[in-house]
Amino acid sequence: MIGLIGAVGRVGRFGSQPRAAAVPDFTLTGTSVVTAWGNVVVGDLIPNAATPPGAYFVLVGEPAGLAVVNG
Amino acid sequence: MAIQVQTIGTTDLRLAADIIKTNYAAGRSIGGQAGRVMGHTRAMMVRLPAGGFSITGSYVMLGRDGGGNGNFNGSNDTALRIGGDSAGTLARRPTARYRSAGVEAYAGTAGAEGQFASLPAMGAAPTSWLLIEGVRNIGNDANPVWKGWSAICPIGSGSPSSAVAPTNISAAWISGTTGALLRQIFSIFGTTRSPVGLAIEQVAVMAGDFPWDTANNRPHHDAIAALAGVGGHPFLTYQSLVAAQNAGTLPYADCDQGLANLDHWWTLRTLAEGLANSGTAGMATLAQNPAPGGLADVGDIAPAHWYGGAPTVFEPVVKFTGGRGARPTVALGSYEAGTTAMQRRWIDMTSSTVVRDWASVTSFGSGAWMVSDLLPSGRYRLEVRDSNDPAKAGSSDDWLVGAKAAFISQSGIQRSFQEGGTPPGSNILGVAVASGAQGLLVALDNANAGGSAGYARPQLVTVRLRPGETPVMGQGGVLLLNDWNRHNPGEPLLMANMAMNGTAMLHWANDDAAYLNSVGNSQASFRFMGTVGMQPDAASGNNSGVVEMFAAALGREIDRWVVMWTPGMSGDSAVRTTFMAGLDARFSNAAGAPVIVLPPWRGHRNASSDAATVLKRQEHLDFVAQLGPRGLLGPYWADIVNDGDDASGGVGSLHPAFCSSFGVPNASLPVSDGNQVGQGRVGRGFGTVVAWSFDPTIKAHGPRVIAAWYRDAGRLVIEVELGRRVRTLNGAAISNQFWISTDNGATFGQGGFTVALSPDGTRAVLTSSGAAFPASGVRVDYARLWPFPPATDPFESQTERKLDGLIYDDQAHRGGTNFAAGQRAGNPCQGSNRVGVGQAGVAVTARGPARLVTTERFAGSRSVTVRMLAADGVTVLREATLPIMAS
Repeated sequence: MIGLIGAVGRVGRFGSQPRAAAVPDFTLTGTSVVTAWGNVVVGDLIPNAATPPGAYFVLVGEPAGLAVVNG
Repeated sequence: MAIQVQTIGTTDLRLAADIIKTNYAAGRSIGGQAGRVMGHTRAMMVRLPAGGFSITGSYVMLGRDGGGNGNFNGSNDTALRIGGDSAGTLARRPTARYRSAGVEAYAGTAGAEGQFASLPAMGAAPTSWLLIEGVRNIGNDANPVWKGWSAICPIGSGSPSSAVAPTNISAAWISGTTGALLRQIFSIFGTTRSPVGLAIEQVAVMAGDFPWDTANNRPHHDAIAALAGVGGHPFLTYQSLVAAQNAGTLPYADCDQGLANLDHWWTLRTLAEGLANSGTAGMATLAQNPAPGGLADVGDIAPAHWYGGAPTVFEPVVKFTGGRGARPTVALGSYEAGTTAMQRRWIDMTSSTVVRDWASVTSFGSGAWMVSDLLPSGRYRLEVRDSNDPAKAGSSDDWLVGAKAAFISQSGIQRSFQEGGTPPGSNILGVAVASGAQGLLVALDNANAGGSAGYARPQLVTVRLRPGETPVMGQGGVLLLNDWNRHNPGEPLLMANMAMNGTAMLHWANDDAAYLNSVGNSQASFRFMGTVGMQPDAASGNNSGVVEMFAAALGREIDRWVVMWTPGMSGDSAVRTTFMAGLDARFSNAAGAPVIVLPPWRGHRNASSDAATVLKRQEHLDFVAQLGPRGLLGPYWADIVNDGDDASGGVGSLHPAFCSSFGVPNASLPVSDGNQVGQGRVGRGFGTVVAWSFDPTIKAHGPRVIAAWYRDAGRLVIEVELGRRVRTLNGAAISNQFWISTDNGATFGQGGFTVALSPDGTRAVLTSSGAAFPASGVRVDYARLWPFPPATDPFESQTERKLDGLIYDDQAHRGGTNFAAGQRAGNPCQGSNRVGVGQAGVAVTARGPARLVTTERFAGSRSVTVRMLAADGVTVLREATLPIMAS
């Protein structure tokens, strides 16, 4: 599972980013979506700089009609 | 009708024996209560001669003339008379006389009669009157006080008048037991002869006490008005008045309701039928005395509400309203002459609560009524009644409100409900309806109208599914309802099995004759669609059709269409458009109802099979797209393949109709679930699909290929995102059901790589056995080639084990495989393959950021809980619930 998330692997590359938070966290880049009978991206899941390499995402309860892609 | 004197002095109506009074001072059983000290009431409706009375005597209406001379003065005689025009203060007013062993009830009054001189004269206009007279205890059981009284009221107009004799009834008469209350109607002797033109109807002798106005100390005028068809309270008959008294439900102010029993009631509507006692005292039939000849049947006297019976409720074949509470339930019925207003109410039959209380029926006239009421989903009893005579009531049980789903296509659906044979099929596995579930199956018993054998009339068949019962029908429908009920407990579901095996969408769109291979059909009078408004009869289909028959029976409304039209789905968008227009034209109250389209999957053992091709699936996908917002892309179902494969000529296990001997578990191809293959397994999942179509948070779809990416720059390993934890069954090794294309989907292959699942089970890991995958043009997909008995395996039970190595999720089974209960632990992976040849599957890309994606169409806000796990798969680094808005 290590290295599944590309963004995690890039931690430290962004010198212009704010100072890394002390606690691992993430953000979702989008919240609105026009759905279709197929896969439509809602937004990217971006870990912060404190997130250790190899972290990945799951959806709690695996809700219908939604999924997370880890790469 | 009423009975009138035609020839004076010729014929009266007479009982074989006197009606004798009892000892009123002693307690009696009246109105269901014992020990009651009460009197009696005599009542009738009378029409006076238009020219009034020409002689000075008083004319007997009711009486007992022991001497047979018209004097009514024998020791036990009685009379109720109306004075003649010249009879002084008694002119056209009632008088009453009772004697018991010579003791007068009205002792000390003029003529020993109760003379109710304060009443208004009973004029000739109006000519019809209600006349009531009685003796009542206005005290109580322990200390009775006896009053003689009389009341009159013009029928259908005006208001009541009453008079109470100023002197109490004689105590000696009260305790007497020899006096008569009635022996005859009309008088034929002496000066008391009933004159020509006098008519009488609705004569009654009631034991007990008439309702009493305690404020005015008189018989209650509201009760009199109710009998006469006037006033603001519900109209009553003697029967309904007595019933209301005894129930204590008369709604009048200052009313001592009393108790009563309708011992004797002669309608006198005709001489032929109105002379028998309709009361409770047994046989007491009047006879024409001394012989017929002087009396005749004439027009009605009683107000209209006295005639006719209870309103009735029309019982349609289908008592089911769709719309899940959003559509009104319409009920129709008829009412009898005499009913002038009606009320209805609805009762929830599950909770016995009233959900719509009594209210006027506003659509009413010409003998017919209709109600249209919004009711929440449930099961109801409809009650109707005559507003003026609540005793005239009717009811109808088991009106269902819920969701209506129509299943249309060919054998894949048709036989999911019934296998072969005649609808509604056989419940060969004895599947019972789940607790709380309520359903209705609607089918046609002969949908092809006889086919090539010649015309035979198609007729609707319905099966009511009730909790705990094992209905006689294919178990597929029972399982479907039970599946629906898991998501919508207690909410009724109507299942219309409209599908016909062997038919193509083109046949339906063309409105061909409704039988297979219709060319040369000996009967072409019954169609697939049918002419709106036409119904088949015994001799001809009359150009009606399958859809039209269902539409008419279902109120031309439907909530969901369910289609899995393989292999007969049309590839022509114009045909699909015509097909939907045909449905909508007939189901005109639900045009635009959503259509659930269930595409086939690559499930045939022969990859070239028509049912297995990407093209066939693409036609379904095109249909969904063509439908626009009303199109719902259902999950892929392994069942929905047709293996009418030319090479084998056999019927394979993936077809719902599988069972070489319909209705009988196949002995040579035993399966672990006792041949639930076919109808059972599809039915098991349809309910969830229908539920999902209303609530997209219900999971109907299995795992699928969502995305694929290279693990690293070396491109030796492809990670395939499946969006859900998956596994194989029974510890089986994973079978390679993945396909890779290196020419951007033009061709796919299964060689040159191995398959494993990621440790967390959410991804398939495809590892090249040789060189790196190309840098571009690589796509991946998931597709099954099912092993098919009998062509590939002698026993389906052995074939089942081959299915263990496929990929399933670990969630509640929603159909798709014919596994026994213990092996139905998950839903099969359904791949992605949405865009057809050349673009099948998903492109394999370089790894990018993690993403949240939607995989189905839905709208509205959701809260999604995303968990970020550490690489160990255990440590939760962060969890957040994120709102999203979908449209």
